[in-house]
Amino acid sequence: MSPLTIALPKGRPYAATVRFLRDVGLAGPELTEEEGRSLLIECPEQGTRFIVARDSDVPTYVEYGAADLGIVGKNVLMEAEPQVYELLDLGYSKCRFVLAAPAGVDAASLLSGRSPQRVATKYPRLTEAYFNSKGIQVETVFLHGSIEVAPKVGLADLIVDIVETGRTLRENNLVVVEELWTSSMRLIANRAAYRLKAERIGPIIQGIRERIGQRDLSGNQ
Amino acid sequence: MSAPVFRTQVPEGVRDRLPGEAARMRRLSAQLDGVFRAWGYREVATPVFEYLEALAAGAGKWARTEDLYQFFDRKGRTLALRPDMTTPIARLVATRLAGEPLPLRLSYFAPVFRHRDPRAGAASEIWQAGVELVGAPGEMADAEVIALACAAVKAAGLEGFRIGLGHVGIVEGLFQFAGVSPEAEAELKEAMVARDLVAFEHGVIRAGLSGERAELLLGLAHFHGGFAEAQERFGGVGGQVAEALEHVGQVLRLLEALGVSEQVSLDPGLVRSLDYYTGVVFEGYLPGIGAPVMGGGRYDNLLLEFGAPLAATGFALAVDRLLMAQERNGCAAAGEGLDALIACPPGREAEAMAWAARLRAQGLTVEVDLLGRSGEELAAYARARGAARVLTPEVPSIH
Repeated sequence: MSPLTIALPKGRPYAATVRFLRDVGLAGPELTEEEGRSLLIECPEQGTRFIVARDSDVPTYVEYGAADLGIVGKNVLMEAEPQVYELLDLGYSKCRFVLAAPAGVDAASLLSGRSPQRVATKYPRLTEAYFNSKGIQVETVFLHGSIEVAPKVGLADLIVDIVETGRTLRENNLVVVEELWTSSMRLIANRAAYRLKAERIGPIIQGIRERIGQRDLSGNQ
Repeated sequence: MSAPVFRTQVPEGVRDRLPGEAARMRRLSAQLDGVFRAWGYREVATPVFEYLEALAAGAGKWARTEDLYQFFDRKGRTLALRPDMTTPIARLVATRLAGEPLPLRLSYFAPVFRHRDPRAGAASEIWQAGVELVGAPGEMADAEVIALACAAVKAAGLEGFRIGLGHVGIVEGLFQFAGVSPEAEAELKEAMVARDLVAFEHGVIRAGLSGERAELLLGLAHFHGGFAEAQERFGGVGGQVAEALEHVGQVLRLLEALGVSEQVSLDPGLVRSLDYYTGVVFEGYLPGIGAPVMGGGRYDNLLLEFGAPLAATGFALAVDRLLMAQERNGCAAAGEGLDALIACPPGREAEAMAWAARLRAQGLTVEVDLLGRSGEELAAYARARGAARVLTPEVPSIH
């Protein structure tokens, strides 16, 4: 039987994802909590294979069927809107999307719409959708990272970013103006694999659902 | 400034088909058409553009007019490129073919057009091959088109085709049973179309459902199993759900008789994005192709939009995904080589062309060299074109 291929993100949520995968019996000792150099890891005993990718690439692997399943943050899914099935909220690596401004700045006047504001973000599509829905015209500045520095260097007036603890914001003298959405890790599936490998995937989902048990469903999806 | 770019490129979402690809597409078309005809389906063609009203008639969802390519005719009427073939064929059947003996079995192989997000690299010109079976309600017609889809994919030389089968009545009946409000139902259906099961669970909670009713809906979204399990789980709800299950059960029994039941599995949580489905719905998948290669279902109310109360069912195959699967399987390139290339030394034009004509009359594929080449120059062209041999008319010796 060909292995079940699962894409997972490197970086921040990697160790927690590995612990989760081991916990639910999908990964063995080959998949270590420290990120190794190998981007393709086989766990023969579990019949699984892992693609370790950039978080924003995980949905792409799954959408095109290079991976059957993927584990990725809702923040990435919301921005990319990939054509994949979102099966489960895995509940860990929780974070919030926030609109933040430099401390001491009157955010209300920034958002009054009188003068155009620049907003730096890794999530340009979501940011635009949010401000459009509020009827506020802004200029979105797309950055790949270090968003929190943008106001300091005059690149942007505001930022939209995800925060876990808020420490990075404080360190950069930024305050939350508004919480926009919350995010946590999700299990996603390729549309064809979900059906073609149903015998394999079905019990996995069932197992994870039982293990997660009664979860907090109050969070924003 | 940017004119040269636009002059040499094509817009996002469309592409050229080079000789090899065009030949493979032609071959696939012939493979599918052979099966469609064997089952009594006759090909039709409809205009690439029509009045927007006609195209939007059947499907509330196509009223998302931003997905349509629209323009005006000289009288100021709004036209659109067809976004699917089912609606134009419904119009055709209700108007031009009204009065024809029923049922009507029609097929097509044609492009449809939808604005897509170019970021995803998705095609906006989407070739589809499919059938519509009009004027036949009931399980037999549904089983026929599903089995025909299996036969068509098999004729294309593709293995491992699997179909997920659901029924609009199961989903709607369960929503009704659970007492879901219309707004919540729209939200839950949208989540089911995208198979966003997390949003679905949140939606169930937000709709204020709990206990058995919530469990039933969650069980629908996460269902994995056979017909007996579905019957056991949802059959007790009765009403529309029981009727739909009975219908699906009968379709599955007929598919067994048709020899394709092992390719079809129950997927009661399947909801398709088009509004016009009224009965069974299904999607087909191939190994190695990450997206569905086929979709379809029963749409008994669509023809009424054009004034003909006729039951109908059908499917569309995604041509480019089938071509991709054929290529992955190492399907040999469609024959486009040459049996012979005829050289044409100066002064021998008439002989060369007459020779080519004789060989073509024997059924061979023959080109005449039009550029007066010889030696290595001609041999290089012959190799590039895959010519089996190079023939040179005798040059009469000079006395």
